[in-house]
Amino acid sequence: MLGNEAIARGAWEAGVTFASAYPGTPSTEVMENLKKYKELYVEWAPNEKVSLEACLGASLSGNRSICSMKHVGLNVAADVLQTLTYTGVNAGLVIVVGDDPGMHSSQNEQDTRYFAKMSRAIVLEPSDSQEAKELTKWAFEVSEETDLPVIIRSTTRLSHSSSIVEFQDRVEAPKKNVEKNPEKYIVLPANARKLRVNLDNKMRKAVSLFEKTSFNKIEEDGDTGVIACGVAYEHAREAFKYASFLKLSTTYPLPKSLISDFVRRFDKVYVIEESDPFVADEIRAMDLGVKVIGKEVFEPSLEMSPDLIRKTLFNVEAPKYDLPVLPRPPLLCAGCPHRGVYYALNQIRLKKKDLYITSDIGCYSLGALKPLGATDTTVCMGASLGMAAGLAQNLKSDDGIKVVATLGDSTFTHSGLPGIVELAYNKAPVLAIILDNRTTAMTGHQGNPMSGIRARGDEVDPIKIKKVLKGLGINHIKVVDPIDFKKLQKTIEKMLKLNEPCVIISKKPCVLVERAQNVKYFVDEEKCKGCKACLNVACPAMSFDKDVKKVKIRADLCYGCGLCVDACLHSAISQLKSEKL
Amino acid sequence: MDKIDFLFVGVGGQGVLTASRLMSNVGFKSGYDVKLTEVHGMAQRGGSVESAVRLAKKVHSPLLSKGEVDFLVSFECLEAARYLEYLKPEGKLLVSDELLSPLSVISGKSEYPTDIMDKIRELGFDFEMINASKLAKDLGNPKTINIIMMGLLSKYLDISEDVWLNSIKEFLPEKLHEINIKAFMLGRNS
Repeated sequence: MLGNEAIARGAWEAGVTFASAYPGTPSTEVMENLKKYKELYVEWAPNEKVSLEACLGASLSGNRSICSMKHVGLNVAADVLQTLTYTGVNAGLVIVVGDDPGMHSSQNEQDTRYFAKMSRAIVLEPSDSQEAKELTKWAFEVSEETDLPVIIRSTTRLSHSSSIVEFQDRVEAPKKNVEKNPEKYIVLPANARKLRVNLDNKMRKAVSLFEKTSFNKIEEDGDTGVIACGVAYEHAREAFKYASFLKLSTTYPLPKSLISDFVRRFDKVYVIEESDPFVADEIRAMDLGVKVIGKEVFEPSLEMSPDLIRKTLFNVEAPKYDLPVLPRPPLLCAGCPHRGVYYALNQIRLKKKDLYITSDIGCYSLGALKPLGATDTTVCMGASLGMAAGLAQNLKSDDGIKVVATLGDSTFTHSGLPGIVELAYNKAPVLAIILDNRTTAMTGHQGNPMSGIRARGDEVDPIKIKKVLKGLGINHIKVVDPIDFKKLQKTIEKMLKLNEPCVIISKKPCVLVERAQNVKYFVDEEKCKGCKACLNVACPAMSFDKDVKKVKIRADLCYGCGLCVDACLHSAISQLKSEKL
Repeated sequence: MDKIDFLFVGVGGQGVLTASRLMSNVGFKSGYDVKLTEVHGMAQRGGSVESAVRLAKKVHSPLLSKGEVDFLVSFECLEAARYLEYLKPEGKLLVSDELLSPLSVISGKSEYPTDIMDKIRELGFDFEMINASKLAKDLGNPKTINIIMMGLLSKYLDISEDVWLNSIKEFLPEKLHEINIKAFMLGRNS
């Protein structure tokens, strides 16, 4: 099973009863798999901060709880984490954080272990699916024993790799009472000072557990000393043919006696870990008089692999061939409802009016790629609105650059609401476009408060977005169907003339959930002049046939959005008659 | 064999992950330790997709090493070239003759290198090409390309037909069994 699936299985076997998460690659499948078990409550929370708070609440009620998030989600939840270690927990609380070394599907590569060190939370790092299950199970006991939250640090390669897992039965967790304890859970300074002192005791308790646990183990097989953790341990086992290993599964706080006993036997040790030289630096700080070679000698931004270890440490080069391989970046799907919005914005700024367009995190960040090339920034969840406010406040008396913010429906409820308040309260003349495709698409179509679909598939009333925006102080709100391109274009142009905050909701389900129109389009070769204007919509179903110098649409790839019809300058594209479908 | 490494590659939406999961299931049923790795999220949106399966008595890293892969199974020609450096010189390349345009070709900025398979041949690699997209279309479901490719792969592996067919049945919803078993046999008998 997948690493994420195994984490879910471990939590279930440990008797977890409450699970809350916000989706994010590579962590999403933890919750998707927890949903398969009937014995527990599962929910998608609007964001990671709320999900961690909900887990703390569940813990106080006496229930074992788990939340999962991607690494950048912990930035949002960090406010909770930094104090959660002070308050501690009642029933066990486990936080699964998926780091993304090499940035397969993320905006940065931050190493979660630094957050753990800052807050003094525990970190466990499994190396394969079996250990992911076992460590998650144990994490609940560790959390209860140390009175601390436990982070299971996964990485993309663990979360999204499958290996064989042996199952055990679920054991219901020992029943805990509801806990009310003001001295522990009200962090007024007088209490917080005592809790801070006790935090060091809790850390010491964790260290003594980790010195003894059989999850950390030594494997003797040679004169080279290697310390490794997480999936990087498996890469190292393959790259170092003869070496003695200290496999660490507990990476914060570290079992320092175990480490120093191992390290002192060598002149130098290699520390193989993902993202940053976190363990290596901790060992260096122990000042054991042994040379420590860690992640700092590896080229940054590359995911760890057996090949990378061989290349960096042993100068072994992999084969390379000189082939004319074109890059194949991801792109908006054929029929994607976001395409029209970005095509319209790009056309306006090319032909009519200079726009500064901020964007956000989701599929629509692909609107940045040329030839759509319709956005100027993507930083973090919700940043489109805050950044747009700052830009607009400074450009409003300027040379007429209008500021547009674009963000998705799930991003809007995740962290867009305070941004809207910023626009309305501080009167920033921004046009915000909410790309409402009724789902959280990039992570695999999870429901969200805007769609009203919940984790187990049941439905509640979706957020009444127009009323919310109105209540927050936005006076100009329009809802449009982006498949009606002419209307969309007109609405955008009209709203751009306003000198106050305004919002367009571009509403159409994701094409992977529901196709826009059950039609297909074709190019009339007689009329096509080969001008390539239509290729600016960047549709995967379209390409230029260099032999006849005409554009072609592949019927098997066309999803019938019809945007190409609006882009064509010579009326050469029309619907296929239904009998040809 | 002591170890068999597979790399399945293609374009998002072609069913690369289903193929590799099927392979890992078949490997598991044949008594191997198995590791599989796949990509999710951003790359699935029309980007280049890869998934590796490793079979051995004991598998450590889920990641493949360049120049050591036994079977490179590509659902698209340009992707075969992209990942060729993973294939060992005596390894087998199985490729579907599909040509899918990347963004730079779609937008008219560059041309698809249609002679790419000739270039691969010049490098001395042994490959078998199959017209999987046409076969799948004729079969009535263009999405069966991946299972046709698995049928083709099965010709080179010492694993009984029953194990394959049972895995296909386990993996896919019942209404898709008949067409996918047909697809598998098309590839296997090609």
